[in-house]
Amino acid sequence: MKKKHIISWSVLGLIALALAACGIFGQEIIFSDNPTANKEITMTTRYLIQNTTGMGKPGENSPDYLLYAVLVPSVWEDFEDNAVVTCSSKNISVESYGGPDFTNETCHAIPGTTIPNAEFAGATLSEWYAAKIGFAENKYGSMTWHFYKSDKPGYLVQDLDAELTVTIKFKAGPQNFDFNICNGIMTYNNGPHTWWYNGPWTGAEIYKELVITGGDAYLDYVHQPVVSTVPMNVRYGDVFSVNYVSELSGVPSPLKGEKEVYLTLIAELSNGSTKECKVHSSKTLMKMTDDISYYKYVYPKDLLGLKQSDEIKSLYVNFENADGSKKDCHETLPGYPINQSNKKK
Amino acid sequence: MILSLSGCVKIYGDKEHFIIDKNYNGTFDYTFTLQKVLEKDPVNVNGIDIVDELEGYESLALKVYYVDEKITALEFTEGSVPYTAYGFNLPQGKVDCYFDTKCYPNAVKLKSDNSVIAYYKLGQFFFQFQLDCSEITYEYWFK
Repeated sequence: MKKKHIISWSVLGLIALALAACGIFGQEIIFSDNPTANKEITMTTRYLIQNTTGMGKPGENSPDYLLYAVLVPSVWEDFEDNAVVTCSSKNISVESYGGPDFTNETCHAIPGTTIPNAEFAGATLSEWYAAKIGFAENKYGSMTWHFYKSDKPGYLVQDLDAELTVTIKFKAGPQNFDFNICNGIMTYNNGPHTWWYNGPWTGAEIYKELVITGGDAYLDYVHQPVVSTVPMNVRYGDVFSVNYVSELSGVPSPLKGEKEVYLTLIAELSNGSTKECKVHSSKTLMKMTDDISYYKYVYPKDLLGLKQSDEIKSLYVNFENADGSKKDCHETLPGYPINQSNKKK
Repeated sequence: MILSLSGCVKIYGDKEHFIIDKNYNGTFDYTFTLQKVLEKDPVNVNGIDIVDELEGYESLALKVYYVDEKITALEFTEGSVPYTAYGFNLPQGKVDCYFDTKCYPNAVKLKSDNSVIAYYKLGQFFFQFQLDCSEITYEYWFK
């Protein structure tokens, strides 16, 4: 009989642990109509919070602040300055246990906040979340996590699940964009400390593809481009891999099937001059990884015969076969552009 | 231990034999070769080994000089690598160093200004550097 009780309590304990580990669920993301470059976009995200998350139940945990994370392109440098975050809830009291629900309560950005988690000591919340959660399938451009903390703490109503709606209004950048915007929610004091938030994906994160039109360029961070780099976010003074595919969405380039493909480079320097590298050598011969994929690590200044102090303003690449009879060149630009990160050392 | 015995390796046939040389006095030099070059960024947090991807890495070398089995000098050769890894001006040729065991990882430091030349961990020398982007870190590992 005693043994049965032990087993029953063990099972209950395991269920409680499972609930605690899966306490917050992103339910739905809704955008305002026709997201447009340079204009305000409203995004609303609904969450379900199971009352096992420990957000201030009387007698168990103290009230805690909401912590909201949102992932947007790194090129939106003024995002934190122009974004306004508010939250509303059902069954999360704002003033005391049993008090009124959150209603359009404001959250403010907390840039540079570091995390006291031993594994990530000294890392910012943004770096910690990037390492644990990643970038929501945005494979072809640099993304940054931003964090917002509610101005007031919340009290979870005992024994009831809660609903939380977070609304963020922000001005989109000047570019046309296709990327996955992602949200995460947690509590400020418990969230980054608690073992289940050491991720990776917990269910508290939810993302949706956002397509912005009406801008002056086109950046697609979701779909595979003809040319990409590894690391994704590079500067021209770094060593990086130029990746090339000779077929995209079933459409072959003139180089499809070529075993020997060479990379050519064109650079515009900050002094206004142009430098090119069209030499076929082991330094420009692409390595083939499958029928359509090639890569080559380069240090552009070496290939272009530049000094380390020379500054490259823009860099383009094209591709050709061994005798130059077949080429894959960009239709309108000097070559396929390699974008440079603004994160200078 | 490996370092102190490295001057005493003899090869007979195709096998290595550790033999204590009667003339061995703990003073010797050893050239460590580059094992890997890790490139780390926020997506590839453990790094991608690019040692076989860029021409010039094969010419990198780290020569360590020992006197009485203690590190006293070091010579770093960048060979034909097309950039300079050290953020400070590392003197050419043999430079006087010491092995600092009070820090972790243990480090080889310049005697002149205590700049760290390399760290020592798991039987390998390594050091980190950045080139242009603040999000990318490189590591040279020598063994």
